[in-house]
Amino acid sequence: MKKNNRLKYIAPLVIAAGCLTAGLSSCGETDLAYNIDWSEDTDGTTISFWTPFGSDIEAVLETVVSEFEEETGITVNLESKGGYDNLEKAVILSASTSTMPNLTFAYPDHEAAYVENNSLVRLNYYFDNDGDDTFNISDFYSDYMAENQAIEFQDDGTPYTLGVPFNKSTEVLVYNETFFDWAATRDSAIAVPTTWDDVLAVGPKINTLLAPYFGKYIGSDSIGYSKESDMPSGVSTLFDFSTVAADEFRPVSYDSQANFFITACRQWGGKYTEVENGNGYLAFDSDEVKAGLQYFQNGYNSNALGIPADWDEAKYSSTPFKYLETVMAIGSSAGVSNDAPTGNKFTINVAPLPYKDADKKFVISQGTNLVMLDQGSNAQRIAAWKLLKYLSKEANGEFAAATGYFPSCEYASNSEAYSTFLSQEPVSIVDKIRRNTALVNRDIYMADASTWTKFVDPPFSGSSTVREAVNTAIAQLFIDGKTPSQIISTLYSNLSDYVRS
Amino acid sequence: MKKRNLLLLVFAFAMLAPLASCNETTSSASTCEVLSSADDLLTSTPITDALQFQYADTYLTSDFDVPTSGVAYGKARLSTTTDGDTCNFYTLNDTLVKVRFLGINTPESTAKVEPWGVKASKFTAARLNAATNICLVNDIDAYTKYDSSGGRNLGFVWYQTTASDPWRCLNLELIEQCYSKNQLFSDSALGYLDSFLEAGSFGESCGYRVNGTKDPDYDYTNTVVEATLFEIRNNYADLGIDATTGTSGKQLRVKALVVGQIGDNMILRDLVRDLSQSETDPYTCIYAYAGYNTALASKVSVGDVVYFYCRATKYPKDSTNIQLSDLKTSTYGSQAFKTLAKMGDANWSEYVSSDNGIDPFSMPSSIVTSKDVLGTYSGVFVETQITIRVIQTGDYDDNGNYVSDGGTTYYNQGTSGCTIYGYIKDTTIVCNLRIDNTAYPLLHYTDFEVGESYNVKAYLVPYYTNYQLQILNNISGADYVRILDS
Repeated sequence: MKKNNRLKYIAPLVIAAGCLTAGLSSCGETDLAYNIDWSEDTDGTTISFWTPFGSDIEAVLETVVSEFEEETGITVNLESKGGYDNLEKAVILSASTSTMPNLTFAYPDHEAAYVENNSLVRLNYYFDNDGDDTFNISDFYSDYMAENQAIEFQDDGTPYTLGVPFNKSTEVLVYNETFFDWAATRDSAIAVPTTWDDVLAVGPKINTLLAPYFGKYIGSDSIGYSKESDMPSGVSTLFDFSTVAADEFRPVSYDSQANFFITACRQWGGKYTEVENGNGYLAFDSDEVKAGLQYFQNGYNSNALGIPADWDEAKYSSTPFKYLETVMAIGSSAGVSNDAPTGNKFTINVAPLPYKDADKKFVISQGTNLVMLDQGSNAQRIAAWKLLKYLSKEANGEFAAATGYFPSCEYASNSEAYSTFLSQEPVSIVDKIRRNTALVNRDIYMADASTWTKFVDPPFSGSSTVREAVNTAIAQLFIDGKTPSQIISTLYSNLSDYVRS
Repeated sequence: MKKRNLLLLVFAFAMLAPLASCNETTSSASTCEVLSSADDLLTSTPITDALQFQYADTYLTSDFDVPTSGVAYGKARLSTTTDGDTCNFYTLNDTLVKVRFLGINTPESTAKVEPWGVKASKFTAARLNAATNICLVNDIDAYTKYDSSGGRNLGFVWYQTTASDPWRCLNLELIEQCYSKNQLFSDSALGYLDSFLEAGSFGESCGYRVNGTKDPDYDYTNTVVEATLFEIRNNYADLGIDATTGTSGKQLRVKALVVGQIGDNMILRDLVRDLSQSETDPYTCIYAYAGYNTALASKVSVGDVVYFYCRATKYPKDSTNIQLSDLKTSTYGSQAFKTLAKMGDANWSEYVSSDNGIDPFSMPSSIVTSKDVLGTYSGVFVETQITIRVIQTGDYDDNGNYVSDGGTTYYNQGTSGCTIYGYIKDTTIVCNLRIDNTAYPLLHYTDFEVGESYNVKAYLVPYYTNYQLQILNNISGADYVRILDS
């Protein structure tokens, strides 16, 4: 790991300059952060905890936090800021009025921003000094912890730990199981793909198979009917393609175009970005990345794959998937329940992300980390640390079992709640797809002998800007028909602040 | 932290200490009124009063839904309110858009119910139903056109109660009235950020409603009440469901028979009659709304005896119709959804008596002599006969009369389903068929013909001043809808 000299020296100057020029009060009691009196009683202490979650996940967190409150006598003011971007903006705004929460969630690039803002607490001190030998940095899965140790470094190059993983997810391929079961009886070459070559081979076969059925109902006798009422007695509807036109159908769709681009860089042997001396640089102007983009453009042009924009969807393929406008949807493992159809129309299942070559099985790691902010009294800081620890043990397993996120540590994986979740035979489609997704993660992506690598590109200040820019690249490639070279050239031009001089 | 950094920080703080106080709020114009009741509205809303509407001269000719970048704004007409922060509007060109209000997040009041949720919903409905003019505004470049689900437009909702009243931003008013905390943290070309931050700080400093006051009509206890559907329908006030506000009240645990499904939602029937009912009365039924992405139909079938946690609400909010919502559908955990018996299981008859079962209550058209008589079967899974009156694109009221001023295209089976207008057979008593698009298998309006009569097994519910039959998942062999011989 390289030493991050820039951040180390810039942070205090930014604080001082910011305060002097803006006239803002900066009341964070930073001297308290690393001089904790651990003997102080926290019973009756109140802390604030800001989250990005919507109401469903927030409700799960509320339950877990309530249990913590009952156990400790600490009151937690839990507040959702309505999304990750909102949360980051709210934290940055609150830093200027000394109303920061004690604990919150952060992506790695948010952590980098908070380091520059000098509002983030390095957790090494707390791990080392709280007198608890049962809670260590090494308890967390290293794949998830790495991004928290890639931003700020000590003089000897040892990284500071700026957060601990909490809600982690990755990408998986959800497929229409009923469709694939039926399709295999019509064409034995149609199977759930494991490689991108498989995707591009099976896509045209699916298109060919369905060609006579678009605009019709497929009966249980595999005959296409214009109306359900035309079906003879004993025949029921297998699939309703009555509202699907041939040109609206794509066999597979990829939700996140930023992830599509970034993962393609890795799987084709190229790079996306790289960090040196704390600065981030673009690294995707390479023959490998161009080859990957060209490969996918060819796949799109052969109608083998698509993106949400093909159905005027902003971000997700779940609606087209439920309406049979696609039969495979690649997206976040945390969102697989969104692919469950209403009314028991068909069953679904899950598979790993397709890969290019067996020696480059890369899949992105996503999700946020718990971070402590430089805020509050001695008792509040201890209380916040206690909550962070609580959320990193069995409670993390309880949260993961209820939400579909992955456990962040062994404590959580081995918890009773998560063990029950994995061992209990699922009943509904939602329970089944979430359980099977967890098994893909445990048994394929994270297994001891796994050939998969979960990756996170090193964060830097501005990495979210680069990600937002590349998020448009796939649409330009597919829908606007630009060449890989044109797209890369445009991105380098628009992101000139991140191009090596 | 390095010692040198600390020294710099100490220096900076020392220099600034006299300039600002840590406990100051940013609110300057607003003061905390003394409210005699947590439900009272603030009489003074200076932050909302001060924010100026910028499009009074041009909004009448602008369509909010057309732009894909920059500032979008335009005249809107309220269709329906969903909850405190989401409503459906028609834009200038009569496009129906679902709008999630920007910069706020009111407590839930539909599939899930939270403290202050119903009241926030009613506040929004009251303001917009009374509005003479409405304008939707968004800076798409700053806030994006749609929410993360892609299904809802994002917007600020401006309204005028009368044409001579000043324009008010409802989003901001909801924060200042403390029905939501502020959720706007970045500015845009609209320049609303400071007002939203100020309203948020004001709310937190005063502590009203979502900022710290208990909703007097919300049941905060963890008490779970086991109740029959009859008790829920007839004693709902005792269960904490306020007759006026429709507040959800206590958490319920319900044991019932599934007699029909609409998508993932269930039509449930009591397993026993109440002691006050006679042996000829129909068993009480109720609609259970499953919520989004639950796929409940994958584990529930008609004939199942189910046992689950939920709450009860009124839907629509001001109606007399009671439904179950906030269902706990996970099969894991302490509040797991359970199936006690499936039809055909040996223990099924332990729950379902011999005169019950999955058959509908017979309500032949011959006994429906008036709308009042029809109303006595409201909330019952019935079998009756309907003659179709209207299947035609256009805008109709619940009587099936054409409305010329534009609006809903009822038969369009696009995203929300369709209404097919009918009478009880051989009468002129309005009884429409409602086909929800979540139903699967799904009947289509082309499956019906005007003038023909149909035998229908469906769930009868009030619909504004009339009644409608909610069509069920058209399961093969269930014979829910059958054309009658002419």
